[in-house]
Amino acid sequence: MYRRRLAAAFIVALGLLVAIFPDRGSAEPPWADRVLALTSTRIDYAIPSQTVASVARATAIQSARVFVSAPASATALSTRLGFYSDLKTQHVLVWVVDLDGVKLERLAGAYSPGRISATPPPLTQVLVFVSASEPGVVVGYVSSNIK
Amino acid sequence: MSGLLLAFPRPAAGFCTGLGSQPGVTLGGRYRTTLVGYQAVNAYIQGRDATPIVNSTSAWDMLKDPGAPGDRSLAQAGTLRRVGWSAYYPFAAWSSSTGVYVEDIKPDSPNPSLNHTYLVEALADNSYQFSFDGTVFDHSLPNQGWWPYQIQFFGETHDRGDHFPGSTAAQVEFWGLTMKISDGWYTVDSMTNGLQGYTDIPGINAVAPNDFYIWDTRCSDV
Repeated sequence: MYRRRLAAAFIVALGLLVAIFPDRGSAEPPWADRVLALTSTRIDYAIPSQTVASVARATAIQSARVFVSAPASATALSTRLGFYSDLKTQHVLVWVVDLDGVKLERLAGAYSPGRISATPPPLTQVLVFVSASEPGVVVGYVSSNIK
Repeated sequence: MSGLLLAFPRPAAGFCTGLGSQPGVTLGGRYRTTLVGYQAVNAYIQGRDATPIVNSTSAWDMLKDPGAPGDRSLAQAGTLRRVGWSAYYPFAAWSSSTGVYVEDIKPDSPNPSLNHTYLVEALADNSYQFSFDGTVFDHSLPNQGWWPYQIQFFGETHDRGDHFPGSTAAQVEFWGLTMKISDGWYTVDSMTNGLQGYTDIPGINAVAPNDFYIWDTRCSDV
């Protein structure tokens, strides 16, 4: 009898622990991380404490908005300082601006004779890389239709 | 590393006016299909700084599976300018058979009036790799779910108000076109013209099997 009660108490305690501390390991990473993982671009967010961005965060957001012709309703979900690297460019200090609510028409058209192709829905989220050293300089962007 | 200074479109000499804005994708260029499959495509693209731009103007080469929809079977590299940009960017764009589309604009500001090469490779792990002027600049994940049986070389705009690449006085040239088949590089030997969208806009003139020009028939700016 005692063993059964002990087992029941253990199960209840375990259930409480799972409820209180959900498995954070299975939580989906942010969109910004998932879209970067699709490409060769990498951002190192480990910034030395003495690093100074000469471009203000607000200025970077504005540059990003202009670059992708973001409507007024678009919002910056996050703006983080990091070092941009890809297969060709290494270690450039940038503001990584995650803009949501944009309407970016996809580039990739393909000639498809005989096919009636509807224009695909626009890309609604974009990660814009704005130089943190040179005002008004946008390094590039990456976007995808993943949600 | 060079970036892009934000600026509004600036009229060039011989500004092409009166195009009138009307949304719609226009494609003009040439393509080639094979049954054995392609491993890579490479092109020199030499053009000019087209203005005005209402939406975007681009020129690119591409690997494609013609048996699947465009948004699920392409890998392209080229040069792009969107509205509000003062220069062109190299870009890579690709899609998987599951419909995941990725668009990656990279640092660099190629002068479109100079020669630049854009290489797209299909690798053994079913990923796609993109190079600009001989340097790899981007790479997709493996297992994209499709293989290329077509190569395409096109100019593209998204609005009638966009200046399609090239003008009657300064055409954009796709030249030195090569393809990789069965581990060997070959000069592109034959192609077919392709026009889609506002078909009155692009002009196409092939001067050799691996060399052709495109231009905006409405514009004579230089």
